[in-house]
Amino acid sequence: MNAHELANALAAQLGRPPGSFDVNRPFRARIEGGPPAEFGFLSGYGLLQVAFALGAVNSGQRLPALGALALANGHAGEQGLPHFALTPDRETVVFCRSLAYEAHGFQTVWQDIQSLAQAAQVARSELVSRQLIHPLP
Amino acid sequence: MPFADFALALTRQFGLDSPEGGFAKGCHFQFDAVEVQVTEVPGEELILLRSELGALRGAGLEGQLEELLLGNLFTNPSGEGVLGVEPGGAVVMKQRVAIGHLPTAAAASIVARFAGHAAVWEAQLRTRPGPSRHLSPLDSAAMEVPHERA
Repeated sequence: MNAHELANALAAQLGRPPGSFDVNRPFRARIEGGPPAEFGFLSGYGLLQVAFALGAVNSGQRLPALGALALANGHAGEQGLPHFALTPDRETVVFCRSLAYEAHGFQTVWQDIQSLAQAAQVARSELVSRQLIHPLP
Repeated sequence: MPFADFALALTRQFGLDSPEGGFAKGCHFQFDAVEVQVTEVPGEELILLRSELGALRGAGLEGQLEELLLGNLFTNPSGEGVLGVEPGGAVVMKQRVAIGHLPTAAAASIVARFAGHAAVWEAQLRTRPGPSRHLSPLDSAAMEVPHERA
């Protein structure tokens, strides 16, 4: 499956018209059960980047929050798990993963996206309960 | 592919020195400016790559952590590795790679790409206010991506 095929299959899955998602530009979508997501193709690598926006760093707990996220990333890289990142505003925490699609059918990629959405929701709930982030409106 | 065969192929492909202790389940390879630890994940045809980039410093800690978290969004687009921190304060880059389905040369190239990416970050962190190795002089070689040997 190439990037165009995946983009069109994703659009169909999400009830959008064909061509809704441009493989050359990031696009946003909402996966059921997950936080708002942004997608971007890295066609040269055969990867689809997915980033779920979890919330804004709690300014009153900024250092512990950043430390906890960086420590979690130290573990995530070792386990091959999704990792945390900050967006350029230095406030929004996202939950990221790059999915390889070239060797897989759409259903496999879609299941990965759904699993990732659920994992992002769990991560968001945990970070909110620890008062490390505020959920986005 | 047995891990020892992979490690040997990696050594030959990039003209690396053989790791001390031979091709055991965990090897340390020196790629120009950075050392990459390559460890077998038993029974899963996976390897774990780890490179230590420096250590967190007390001053400007918040800014250092911000840089690492921003880096995971922008400079790591193709999954070369995740920047993180270990409990002792070491700044690390790590990646798990499935090597079972890859030709040896392709798997070795992933390791080299990881090393190149780690070298860029090691230099960036060392030459900016932020994590530092303290003892490493500015070294232009740190910015070079290892090249595959013919």
